[in-house]
Amino acid sequence: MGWIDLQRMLGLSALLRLLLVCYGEWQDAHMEVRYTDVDYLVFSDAAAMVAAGRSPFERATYRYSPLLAYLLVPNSLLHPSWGKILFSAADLLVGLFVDAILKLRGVPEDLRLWSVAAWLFNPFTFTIGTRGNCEPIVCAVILWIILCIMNGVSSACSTINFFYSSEWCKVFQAAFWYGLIVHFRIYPIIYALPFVIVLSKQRIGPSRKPTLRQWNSRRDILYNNSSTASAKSSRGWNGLWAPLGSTVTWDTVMFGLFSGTLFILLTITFFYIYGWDFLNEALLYHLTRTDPRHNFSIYFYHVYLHHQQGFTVFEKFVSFLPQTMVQLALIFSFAGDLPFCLFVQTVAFVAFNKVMTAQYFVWFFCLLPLILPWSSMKVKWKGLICMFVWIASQIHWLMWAYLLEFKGRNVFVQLWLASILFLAANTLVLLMLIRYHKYSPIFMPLASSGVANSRKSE
Amino acid sequence: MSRCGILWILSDRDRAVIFVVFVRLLFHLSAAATTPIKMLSFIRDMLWHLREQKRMVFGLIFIVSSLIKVDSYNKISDHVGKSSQRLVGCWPFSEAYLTSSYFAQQKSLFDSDCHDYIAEEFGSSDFCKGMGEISLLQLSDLQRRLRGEGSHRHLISTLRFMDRSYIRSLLDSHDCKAVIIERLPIGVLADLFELQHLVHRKVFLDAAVFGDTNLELPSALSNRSIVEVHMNISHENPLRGYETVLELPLHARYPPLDDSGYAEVQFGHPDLFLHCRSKEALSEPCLWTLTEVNAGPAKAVMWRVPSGNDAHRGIVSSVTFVSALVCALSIVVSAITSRNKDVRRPVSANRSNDPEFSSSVKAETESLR
Repeated sequence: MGWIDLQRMLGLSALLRLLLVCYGEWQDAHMEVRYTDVDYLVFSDAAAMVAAGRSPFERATYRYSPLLAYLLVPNSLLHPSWGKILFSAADLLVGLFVDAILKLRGVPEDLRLWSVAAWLFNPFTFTIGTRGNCEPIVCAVILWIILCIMNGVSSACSTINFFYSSEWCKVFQAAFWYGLIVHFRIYPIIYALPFVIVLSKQRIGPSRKPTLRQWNSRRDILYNNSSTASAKSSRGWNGLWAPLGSTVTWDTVMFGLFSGTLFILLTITFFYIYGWDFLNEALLYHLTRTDPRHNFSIYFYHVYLHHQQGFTVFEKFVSFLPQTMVQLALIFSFAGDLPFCLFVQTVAFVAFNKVMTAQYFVWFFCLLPLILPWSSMKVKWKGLICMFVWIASQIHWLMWAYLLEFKGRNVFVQLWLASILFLAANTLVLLMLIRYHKYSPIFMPLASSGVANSRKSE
Repeated sequence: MSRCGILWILSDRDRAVIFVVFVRLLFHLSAAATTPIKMLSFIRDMLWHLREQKRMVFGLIFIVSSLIKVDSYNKISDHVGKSSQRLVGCWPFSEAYLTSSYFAQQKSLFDSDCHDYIAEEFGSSDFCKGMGEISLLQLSDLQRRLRGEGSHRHLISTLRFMDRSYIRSLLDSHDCKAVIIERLPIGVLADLFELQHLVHRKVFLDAAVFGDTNLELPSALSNRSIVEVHMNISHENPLRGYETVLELPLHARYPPLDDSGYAEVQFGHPDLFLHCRSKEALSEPCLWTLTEVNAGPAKAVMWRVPSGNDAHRGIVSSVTFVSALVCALSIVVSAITSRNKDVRRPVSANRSNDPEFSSSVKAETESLR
């Protein structure tokens, strides 16, 4: 990839996004089917409400934080496409952060560019931003939190030196963004445990920055076998409770306290301003959401068949069990390798969720470039097979959904079986990714670390 | 009412009042309200309702017809717009829609009540004096059909006007619009935002949805809604005269479970009105019901919506949970066992076949030199 550098790539993708936003304007004005996402119209209406001094929740189906409506107030003041530009900018920012994270981890430039391209030129991502979906903002903040944790001290904090403690500053920033983003979109709550675990493993070196493990193409496997093994054995399954105990450090407690406080403060503030509308629509709706209408989730037909009489506690528990089990297993296995852990967690979370729509895929697409350099899976043919299986099972599902929704044929059973097939495909891809991933904790384990006592498994 | 003058009382109105009383009676009796105090309050209510009318005997007779209405709740009755008397009235500019406050007064949608409500709110015989003989203005024909397949369809209503010469002269001197009020059956909904988009694109003059406007709930958990669309009377078609074609985009809700695999949604007759205002004089705008002259036996418009089968419940739930558990367990096992894979994996596991990775490896080894 000698002919292009990061700046050019970002410029090119900015141009592409700008063209798509303009094209979207044209299609909206001239064609029956809109390019713009329906949700974008909801955000815009809610923002107009805010601009008029009213509650964003007066707009039906607005189920987001009021902050989103505030962000989009210029939609009614400047230009209706303001939001799309903002989301696309966040989209580019994700590309920038991918590069920054990989650079910190010592990935060579060529490989970094490939990874950034996997995000920027993913047809899925650039359409989602330009159609007016707010997910790129969430992605950018998640990556920024990863950067904060990896960087240790944020530059802003070290210059001001506000609390005279670099550790405090670092935690302060990560926790601020984390509390904010959980308020904004709820689902990043699943990252709480890996963040805490990884923070507890962070050791600040003499440069006031944590020592990051650098990317190695083959040397790790060839020469560094023993250290890899010892690093891996520190992951926690050897003794689940010992590492859990060691997670209680000054950093993690401050992180939890600060992000939790911010989340609660934001909730209380907006509850005070907008009342139950906010609590029901922006928070409780997402926590209790079950949709009887068809979606990728395996549970949709089960929910539809039971929607008239409700669910028993047992049924709720049984559908909650696989999700919890998988999340815990992935966290305790991979938390040290933070980006990989977040990625597999998100894939699994979306796959086992009660509701699954295509927009959720962006949640893990933004983390995918962060794990590519550590995968030993060859694009030919295993990588291609994975992509094919994932996409084919999705298209298969879409075919049945088309017959149900647009042809009015009763194919509920087939569609449900297609959902199960898609779950199987998700599982297969996840297993392949785990199998071919070279586990690499982001921080160098120090001799003094609390996990040194873990036994090397024989 | 007072805005426009004297109320032109329809015979249906008394039935509506008696019906309200009757529903209250049913309510009081069913809600364990046989205590003397509750009965007294009921009698007080009833007297209050009938104080104005003083048509007790008349009312009692109509209790029987109200009984039939209770039974036919949620079924589509087709009588409105045909059997009830034509409404002539005034529609002031302060009200944007005919049906906007209907649900403020009524909890649920009864086919007849809607028409009565409009008659009560807007009916007045004093107006439309300068319009000549408005009874001449009728529809020769109303055709209804569904276009499309699946969950998103268009309900197409073609309103064909009679007496070409009269309507032409009326349109020369007046601004007229057709008002179509569609009382949607349970199981079908109109998306307000989609209609507003069509208004924006000048397909409709105006459109609104009242009642249960939740777009997401299945039929079993939702109520009915009213769609009110205002349209221009299209230009004269040389072959067929004046006609207005309404293409209303509709969406099916998920129907209640049914063993047959399909639920049938049947549409009733819409309420059709013409609303005219003189182009020069500052007269009150006039509103009246449109009826069809050649209305034959109504051909029901039917929509078949696929529904889940109750018999699947057990097998679907168990297979869903088992497959979720199997997939979850395989991921758990893979995550736990993967910790030793690098140690076990042969050293020769390299990426030389992968162009992407081999190039990066090359780049790195060069940089190391």
